Amino acid sequence: MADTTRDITTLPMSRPRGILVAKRGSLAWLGVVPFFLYTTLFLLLPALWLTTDAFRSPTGGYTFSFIQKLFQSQYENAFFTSIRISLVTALVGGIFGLFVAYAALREDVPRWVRPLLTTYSGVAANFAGVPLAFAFVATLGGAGLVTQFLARFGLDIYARGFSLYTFTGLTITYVYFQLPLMILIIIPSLEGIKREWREAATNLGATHTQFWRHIGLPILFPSLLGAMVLLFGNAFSAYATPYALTSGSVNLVPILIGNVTSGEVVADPNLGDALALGTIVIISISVVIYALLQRRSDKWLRR
Amino acid sequence: MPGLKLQGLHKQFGEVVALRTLDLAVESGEFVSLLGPSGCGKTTALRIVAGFEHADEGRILVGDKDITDVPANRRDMGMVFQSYSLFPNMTAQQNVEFGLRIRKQRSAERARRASELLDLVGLASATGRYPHQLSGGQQQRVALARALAIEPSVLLLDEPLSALDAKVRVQLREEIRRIQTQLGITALYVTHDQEEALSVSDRVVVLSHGQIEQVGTPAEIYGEPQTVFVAAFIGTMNRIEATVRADPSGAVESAGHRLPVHAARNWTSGLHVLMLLRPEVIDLRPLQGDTSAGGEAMTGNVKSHTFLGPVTRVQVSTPIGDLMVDVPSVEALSVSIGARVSLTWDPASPRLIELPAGAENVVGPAAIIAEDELQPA
Ligand SMILES: Nc1ncnc2c1ncn2[C@@H]1O[C@H](COP(=O)(O)OP(=O)(O)OP(=O)(O)O)[C@@H](O)[C@H]1O
Ligand SMILES: [Mg+2]
Repeated sequence: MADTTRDITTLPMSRPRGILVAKRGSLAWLGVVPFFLYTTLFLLLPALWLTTDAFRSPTGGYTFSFIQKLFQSQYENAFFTSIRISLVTALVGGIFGLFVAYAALREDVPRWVRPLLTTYSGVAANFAGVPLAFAFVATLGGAGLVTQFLARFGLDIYARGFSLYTFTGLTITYVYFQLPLMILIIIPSLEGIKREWREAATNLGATHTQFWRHIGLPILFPSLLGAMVLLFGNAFSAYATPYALTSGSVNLVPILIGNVTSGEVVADPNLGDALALGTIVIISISVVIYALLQRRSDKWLRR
Repeated sequence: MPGLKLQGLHKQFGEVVALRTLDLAVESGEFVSLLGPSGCGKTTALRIVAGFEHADEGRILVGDKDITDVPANRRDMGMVFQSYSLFPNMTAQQNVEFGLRIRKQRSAERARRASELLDLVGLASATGRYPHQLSGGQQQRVALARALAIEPSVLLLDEPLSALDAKVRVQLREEIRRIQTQLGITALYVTHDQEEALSVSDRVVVLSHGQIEQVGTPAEIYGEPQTVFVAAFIGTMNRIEATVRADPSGAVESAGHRLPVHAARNWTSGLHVLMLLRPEVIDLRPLQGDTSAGGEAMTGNVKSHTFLGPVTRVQVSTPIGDLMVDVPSVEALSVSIGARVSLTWDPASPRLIELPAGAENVVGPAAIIAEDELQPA
């Protein structure tokens, strides 16, 4: 996965079920103590601390000034760009990842394809940050291998307006890890689509498309949605990749947070807290949207 | 209702031959079972008929229509799978309506038909439930209703009861038979459970290694097995290797003993045969001391008892090997283990099957009865 998984590890892929139904007197709940301890220490407490700091004036007392700053064009713009790149790469990576995973699981595909694909995806989904940035500079940069190769055939992509160091370039780079991440998380769900359902639908007269419309996609819907939220968060929180690639020329929230907390430009940790709080709000909204949409499938899901 | 014809179906998966030129005609409205051990090609045959698998050779006809090249979704066949085939995102009613929805029927019409069918399978009260809210047996009833909803030309069932417990299995198989008879629909039923096949079918097809061993009514399959395989596979059978004797009243010889068999009169003496004798046709009497009562076919010692409910299966050790004898359970109490007994049978009962010349130990000692064969047939 990308640089940080801090926010996304807690996203619900599907609702935990039955955790709270342990019988009275049973000690089964002991097993979840480490989990809650962990989330309290590393998620809830930092979030709480961050939230209060976002409202705390360096001179003492409380203030809304940092939150208000978020609505200044530079910061507002960063949020829009971050949301846009996260949405675009989640959709592109998600949709193509779904198709690749689907194609690899077909019965007429040789058996060795699958382990190869999952191994590759495991590696590629975790290939991010500075190494990934360099890999792309070496291939699609101004003097990159692919750029040079295309130029030799008369296609000078940089002359035609492409640049790796822009939003488009960054999008392509993000898709490099978004797509395999999608493959990794959607394969188990695709495998859950039973052959009997497909054959029963065919037997009853349905075409391939009709099967997917009435059965396949509705069943896959909760997992797809969860995967998309995961990809969204994954892109939103990416820091090292865009930093190494664009050195800040594309205005993204994590890079701003980096700037104001590391003090390279101006150290303003409280503004960093406010930006992080904004991020938490965005991610929370995406989880709420997920939960609302997912409710549709709730009635037939096993509880 | 049209009949179904399979003509010279051949199917190979790599090296494995799943079907070897299978020919079968199912009459209109007939209930035919494909019965055989695991891996004999039953499912393959059914899937070829349904169109999920393509035969390397051979044709499939429904009525006079050749459907070999018709895609699976236009074959109009109702299929009931082994388990888990209901669409989990649809209620029982929606599942049953699915085929009609695909056929663009009006929703009022669909709903009427669905409730009619759910009523037929005895699930009128479960229309709004999702598959996970139904028991295994109920799910299979819905699956049956769903398959019938499209008014299929042929009903195909692939071990639809094998995931259910014994009691539900018996109840549901009778219901499937009742509904099939009521609708007069042609049905092809796959099972590896001989009791199931024999109890519900008009005819049973016994398969082994992708080939038909015997086709016949349940009574024919049970009472007149034509091959060594069928004799061994159906029910419990005492199998005794013997040689036909020149004897006007009919007899064979095994391990130096004369065994009365009327059927032997029609066979050339010296022929190497397998004598088949059901446990229930042998009469067992306790003997006092070592004396022979006279007139019995064989004497032996009781080796073990297996209680099967109304009868007890007694294993008797004899000079021609161990024989299985079914004794009414009330009488079985008087024959203790080790007791000396006489065995008699009506010479008209045993059947003979010719063994290939020179075949030695085709079936091993007189009767090898595996544990799993010890079921009431
Ligand atoms: N898709 C396949 N690929 C390779 N071999 C197959 C395939 N399907 C079936 N076979 C082989 O063909 C033979 C017949 O299989 P089939 O499933 O028809 O048996 P069956 O009689 O239904 O057995 P069971 O009672 O276990 O269901 C078996 O040897 C099986 O291994
Ligand atoms: Mg099978």
